[in-house]
Amino acid sequence: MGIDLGTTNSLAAVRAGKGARVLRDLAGEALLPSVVCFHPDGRTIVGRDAKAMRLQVPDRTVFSVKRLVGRSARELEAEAKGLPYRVVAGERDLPRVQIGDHQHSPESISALILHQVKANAEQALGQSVREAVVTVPAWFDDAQRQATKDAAALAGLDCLRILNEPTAAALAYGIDGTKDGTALVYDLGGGTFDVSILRIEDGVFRVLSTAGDTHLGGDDFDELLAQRIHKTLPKTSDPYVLQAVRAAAEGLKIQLSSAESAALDLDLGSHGTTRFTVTRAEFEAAIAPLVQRTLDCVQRAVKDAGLRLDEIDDVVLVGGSTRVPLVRARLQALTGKVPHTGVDPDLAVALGASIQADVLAGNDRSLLLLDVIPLSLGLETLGGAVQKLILRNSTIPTSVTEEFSTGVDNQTAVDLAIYQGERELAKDCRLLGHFKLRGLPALPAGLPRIAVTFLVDADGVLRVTAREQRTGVQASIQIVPSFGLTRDEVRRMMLDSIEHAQTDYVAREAIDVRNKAEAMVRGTQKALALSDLPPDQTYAVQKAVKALAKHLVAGADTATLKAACDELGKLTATIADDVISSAVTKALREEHKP
Amino acid sequence: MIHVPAPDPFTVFGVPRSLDLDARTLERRYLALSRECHPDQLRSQETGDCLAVLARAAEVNDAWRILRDPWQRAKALLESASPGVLDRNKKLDPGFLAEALELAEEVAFARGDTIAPLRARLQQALDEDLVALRDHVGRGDLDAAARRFHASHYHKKALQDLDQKA
Amino acid sequence: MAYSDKVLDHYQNPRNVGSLDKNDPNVGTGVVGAPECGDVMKLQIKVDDSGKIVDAKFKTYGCGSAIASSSLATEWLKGTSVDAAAQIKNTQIVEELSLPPVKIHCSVLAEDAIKAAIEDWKKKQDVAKASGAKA
Repeated sequence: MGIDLGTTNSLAAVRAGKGARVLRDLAGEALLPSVVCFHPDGRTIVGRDAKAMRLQVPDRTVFSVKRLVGRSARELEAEAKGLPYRVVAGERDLPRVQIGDHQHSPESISALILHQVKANAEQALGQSVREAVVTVPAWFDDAQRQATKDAAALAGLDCLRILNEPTAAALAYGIDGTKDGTALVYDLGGGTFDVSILRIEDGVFRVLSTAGDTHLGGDDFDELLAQRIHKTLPKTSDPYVLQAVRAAAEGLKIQLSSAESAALDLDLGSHGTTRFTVTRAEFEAAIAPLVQRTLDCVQRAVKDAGLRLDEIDDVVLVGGSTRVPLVRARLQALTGKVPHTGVDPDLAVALGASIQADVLAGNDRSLLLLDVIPLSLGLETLGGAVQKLILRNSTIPTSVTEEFSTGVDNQTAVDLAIYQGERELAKDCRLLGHFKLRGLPALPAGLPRIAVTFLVDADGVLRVTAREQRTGVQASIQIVPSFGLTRDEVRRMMLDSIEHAQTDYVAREAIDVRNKAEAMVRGTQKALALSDLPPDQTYAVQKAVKALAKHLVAGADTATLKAACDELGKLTATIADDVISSAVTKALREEHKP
Repeated sequence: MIHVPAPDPFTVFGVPRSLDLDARTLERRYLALSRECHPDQLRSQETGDCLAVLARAAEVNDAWRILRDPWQRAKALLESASPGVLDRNKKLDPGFLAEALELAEEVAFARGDTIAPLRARLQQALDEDLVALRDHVGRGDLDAAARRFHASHYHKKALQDLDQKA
Repeated sequence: MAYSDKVLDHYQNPRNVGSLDKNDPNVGTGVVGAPECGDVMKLQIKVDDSGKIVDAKFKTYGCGSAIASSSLATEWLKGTSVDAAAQIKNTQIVEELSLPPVKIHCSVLAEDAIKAAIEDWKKKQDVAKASGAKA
């Protein structure tokens, strides 16, 4: 399955024959609004119903969480002020969404969205889904990619690959890979902008360069309209008004894609009323500087690819915001090419992701994607400068090895600070984290030769390994990320989500219960074989498993299945503990493997 | 921090150590190697994610980055044929450096109409550098090739500066 | 912050930019380069009969640190003796400008330029002495 985890909407698609199809929910909708509402009555609502709650409980309804992922609270300070929900600084300056007494990490909120996408997909497919390719903006850095991976894990998904959105879209356009040529993919979503230049040849999709802005999208167009509406209203920071004006602005923008002017009557009760009219020309004048920023990125990407604009064969549009007429007109004027609109710009990314998922599952070896790392990686050297290790637009996987030594006798540890960005000084780049090499042999200063290999994998995520050359000792590496979750936190949250899955989420559809029941039957049988319970307990558990299996075969209703699951659950509480703790032990062991 | 050189790109690609490699042939070789080594193609064999597979794929990508660029290819060739040859030949003739300074000055003062002809001159100088470098390598004079390699940097930098003005 | 105020000051208001007549027997010219980054530095000194440096000029194409290093070098050179100038070390420039490690090669370039200029001047003096002796 391929999942497009968007700022505004999310959706899933699967490979179908030579093509791919998007998965729709019971109402026939493909797009799931990326909105989570933590309702005061204790329910957690995701998607369309959550979006409908924006006006009722604005301070408990979280949208555009993708903008928070993999960033620090300090970086988000300015942006958070315009949001109707509260973003506070948590531990290590990580952003947390404050809902009542509870704080939620952006990863866990993204996980709720992914979980709903998964549930809807399972319903549509009639079978459970575990593996998925999840897309991210090409311009996402290491921290944002890692955070997205964590969110997928928290949602119970095995993330096959973090795939760049424009690359995914290119796949959707040239599915059979027979249309050789050079394509420019212009992807303007709700909150992010990406442009990638690809060469397609013999089924190989090779990204030559990418550029973008993770904080530029259709939301910003809405915001500009919202600011104009606010000018006609009394000044306020009331979350209800902020949400209502934002929603109204989005509506106006959509109208302006097909109409020359749009009007709106907004009645905000005690906060006043307004009648607001805006013409397309006014709207276009307001957003023109933002559109120009995207065109600057386009020109840079073309240059980085070592090409001229006239060497681009095809221009592909992706993302809902490319429906804005000014965007299309300006891009066409710049490239001299009529942009392709054959695939729905909202669906292209998910469709492409599903094709890549199929490739990764080993079903299709005719296609191959070669992507690049969007931003350079470097190490801080003395004096606050950054020495580049891996240059942006390098095809991934890519690696580089550097040798370090010690400065003091018997020093057994070395710390490295790793940065991502193009600027010369550390303070202008993003600190991804500290790598602490431990367990070096005690030797006189300067004698150890520690070869550290920095490898960027096919997800665009950095992996570091180190070895002392003289002794061959593998140094252990402890990673302290400056953004996002530590490995311990992810593990803890995954356990929490297993334990609280039932209470946290919206009441599941029948298929979910069925999936769970099936999993329980299989899981319990496995666990029984491994555990040494007393015979009487084993017998009781076996009986409950048989009962549940019988209900499953008979196609029993949800309530019956649930009751049978609960029965079995109670009996297996002790086994579950065993299995979880052994799973944790195993996970810990793997973490310490080099 | 000492850079540990990547494996010799000519060996990774299995091509002769030469500056005269056909660009199209190299590209085909790269695509074929990628199909062989990229973790995505090996994923179904449960080995797609292991470090050895990633490292091999990285080797191929990194070798391609070097071989596709004639200058980086030249650098790799010089270093593999005579390690340290580039470091030993860093001192360039003061006469050449004075010329380089004049060129840089011309770039700094280039305006409007003078930009295009200057760019053409610099591009020609760079092309000549590559021809000369190839000749030196052909004659086995690696020291001269290394000096010419260093000299080309000044032409490249001048071109870059000129492009930034445009 | 990695660039000191002094670097920025010399970069924005470089002292002694320009050229001296390279054919003047009292002028020594040094041109040096760092091929890795394409920096090139020309440094000239004018020496009076007592061996005192009465004027110094430079032209540098390169990064801010290279320009600052050569600008500072010419300031130090003016009014000092050739012998004292020959003792100037790149580490003094690093210290004065608080250059970060990645920019140390800029100070090395300045030291090399000073040495090359002095050498050129000495060569000219030897030639002059030789021809003077003949005459």
